[in-house]
Amino acid sequence: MTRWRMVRKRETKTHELIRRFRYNKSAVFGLILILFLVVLAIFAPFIAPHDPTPSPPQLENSLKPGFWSNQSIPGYPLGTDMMGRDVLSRIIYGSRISLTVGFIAVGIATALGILIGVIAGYYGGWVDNVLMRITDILFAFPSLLLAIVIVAVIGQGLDKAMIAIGIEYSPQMARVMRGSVLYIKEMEYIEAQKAIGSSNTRIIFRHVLPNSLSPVIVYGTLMMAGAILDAAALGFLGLGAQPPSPEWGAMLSDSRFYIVSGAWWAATFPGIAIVIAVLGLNLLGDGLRDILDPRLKE
Amino acid sequence: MKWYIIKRLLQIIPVVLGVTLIAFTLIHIAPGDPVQTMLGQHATQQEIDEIRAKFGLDQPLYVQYFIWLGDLLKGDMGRSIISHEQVTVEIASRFPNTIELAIAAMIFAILIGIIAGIISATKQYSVADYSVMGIALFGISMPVFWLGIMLMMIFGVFLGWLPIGGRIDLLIPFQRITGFMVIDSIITANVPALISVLRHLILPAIALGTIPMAIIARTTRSSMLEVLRQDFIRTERSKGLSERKVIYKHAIRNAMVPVVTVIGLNFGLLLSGAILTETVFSWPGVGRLVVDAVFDRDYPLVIGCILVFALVFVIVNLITDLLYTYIDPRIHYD
Repeated sequence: MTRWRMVRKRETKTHELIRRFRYNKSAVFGLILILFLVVLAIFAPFIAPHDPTPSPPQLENSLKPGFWSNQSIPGYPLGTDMMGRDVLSRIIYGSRISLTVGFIAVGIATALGILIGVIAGYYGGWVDNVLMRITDILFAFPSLLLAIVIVAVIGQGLDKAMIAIGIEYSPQMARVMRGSVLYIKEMEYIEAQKAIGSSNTRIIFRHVLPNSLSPVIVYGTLMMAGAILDAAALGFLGLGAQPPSPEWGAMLSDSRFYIVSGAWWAATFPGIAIVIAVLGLNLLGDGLRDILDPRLKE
Repeated sequence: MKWYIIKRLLQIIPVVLGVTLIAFTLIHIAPGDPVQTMLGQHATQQEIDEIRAKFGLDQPLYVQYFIWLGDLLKGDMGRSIISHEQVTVEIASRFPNTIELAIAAMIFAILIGIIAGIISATKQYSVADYSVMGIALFGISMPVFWLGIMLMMIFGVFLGWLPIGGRIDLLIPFQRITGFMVIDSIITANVPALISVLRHLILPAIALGTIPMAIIARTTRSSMLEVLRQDFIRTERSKGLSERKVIYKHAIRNAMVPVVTVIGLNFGLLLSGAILTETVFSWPGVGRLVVDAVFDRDYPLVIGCILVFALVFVIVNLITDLLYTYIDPRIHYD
C-alpha cells in the first residue's frame, strides 16, 4: 500500500512538471527549435539535397544566389558558396557538428564541475578553499580567451575545441554544484543519513547528487548555448573546425570576404542557423529554470 | 570601506599570480620547441644549446618561472619570436585601440540598454515592451562576429554609409600622441581625422555592444518592474507626484544596483567579443594580436596578451565591486 502511494506521488510530480512546462510558451518554443535541429542532424543525409563537401569542387556553380534570384540554379534554394557547394546542405550537416560540440563540451564541463563542486561543497575547509581559489583564477580569464589559450597549447581542430570549451565552462559548473551541495548538506535528511552511519560516498551518490540535478540541467542547457556560440567563434577564428568541414562558424569565416562582391547569402544563412540553435537553448534553459527550480529565479 | 578596498586589492594578488603561473605552465607544456622555431630546421645542437643557456631555458622550470616573473615585474615580457619586437611594445601600441573599442561599445550598450529597459518596464506588455524584449532576446543569442558581418554588409557594402574596416582613412594625416585615436585627434584639433575615426568606430562598437546592450536592457526592465511594485513608489504616487518624477527621481536610482553589477560582469564578455569584432573589422587591437600569436605559436606574445586581458578583467571586476557599495549604501563590508 505504501509502495503504491509513493509511486503515484512521483508520477503526479512528473505530471506537474510537464504541465508547468506546457504552460511556459517560450520553453516550448525553445524545445521545438532544438528538436527541429536534432531531427535535421539525425536525418541530415536524407534531408540535405546535396553532398556538403563534394569532390571535386563544382567551381562552375560558385557563388550562385538562391530562390530569391532568377540567376539561381534549381535545387540550391539558399545558393552556393565560393566552392560551388550547396549552402543549405552544409547548414543541415553543420547542425550535427554544432549539437555534438555543445553536448560533448557541456558533458566535459559537467563532469569536471560536478567533481570539483561536490568535493569542495561537501568536504569544505581547506579543500574548498584551494579549489575555489583555482576557479577564481580561471574566472580571471574572459571566457572565450580561456578556450583560445587552451587551444594554443593543445592545438587547433574541432576535437580540441570541444575540450577547450569544456574546460572553459567547468569552473561555472563547479560553482553551481558547490552552491547546490552546500544547500543540500544542511538538510535534515542528510543529517539523518549521517546519524545512521552512511558513508560519505553513499550520501553523495544517493542523496546529494540526485537532489542537485535541477541546477545542473538548467545551467547545462544555458551553457550549451554558450558552448555552441564559442565553438562557432573558434571555427570563425580558424582555431576550431577546419575547412572543408561544414561547421557554421567556419562557413561564415570562409564566405565573409565575398560579401564585398555582393554574395551575401553564404555568410548570412550559417549565422541564422547559429541564432536558431542558441536562441532555442536559451529559451529552453530559461523555461526550465522557472519550472524546475523556483529558487533560481532571478 | 577603506579596509574593504585594501582587502580586495590584496585578494587580487594571488589571482594574478595564479594567472601568471597557469599561463607560464600551459605554454611550457605546449608541443613545439621555441628555440627550434627561432633557429629553423638546420640549427646544430651546439647553437641550440647556446641559445638555451642564453635565455635560461636550460634551468629547471620553477627557476625559469621565477626569472620570468622577476622580469615581468620590471615590465619585461620578453620578445616576440616572429617580429623580435619587445612584447610590451607590441601590446602597448595596440592596447589603446582595444580599450577605445570596448569603451565605445559599452557606452552604446549602457545608453541604449538602460533607455530600452526603462521604456519596457514603464509600458509593460505594450508593443514597445514586446519589441524591446524580442530584440534583446535575439541580441543575446547572436554571434558577435555574425552581427559584425551583417552590419558591415548592410551599412558598409550595400548602403556605403560607413567604412568596412580599419581605424582611420589612410589618406588623412594623423599625429599619434596617446595612442587613443579619438583623444589624439581632439588634442591636435584634427577635425577630418576625428570624423574619420568616429566613422570607423560606429559599426564595430555596435557589433560589440549589442550583447551587453541586450543583457542590460533585460536587467533594467526586471529591476525597474521590481522597484515599481514597492511600497515607497506607491507612497510617492499617492503624494501626488507626477509619474515622470516618480520614475526619474526615485525608481531609476533604486533600480540601478543590479544593472551596475551586470555591466561589470559583462566586461569579460566584451573582451572576448573584442577578439572576434577586431577580426571582422580588421581592427588593430590586442584581440586580433592574440589570435595571430596563437597561429604563429609566438608564445611570449600569447602570454603577454593573456596577462593584459586578465589584468583588465580583474581590475574591472574590482571597480564593479566598489561601485556597488557606492551606489547602494545599504551594502557594508567589514
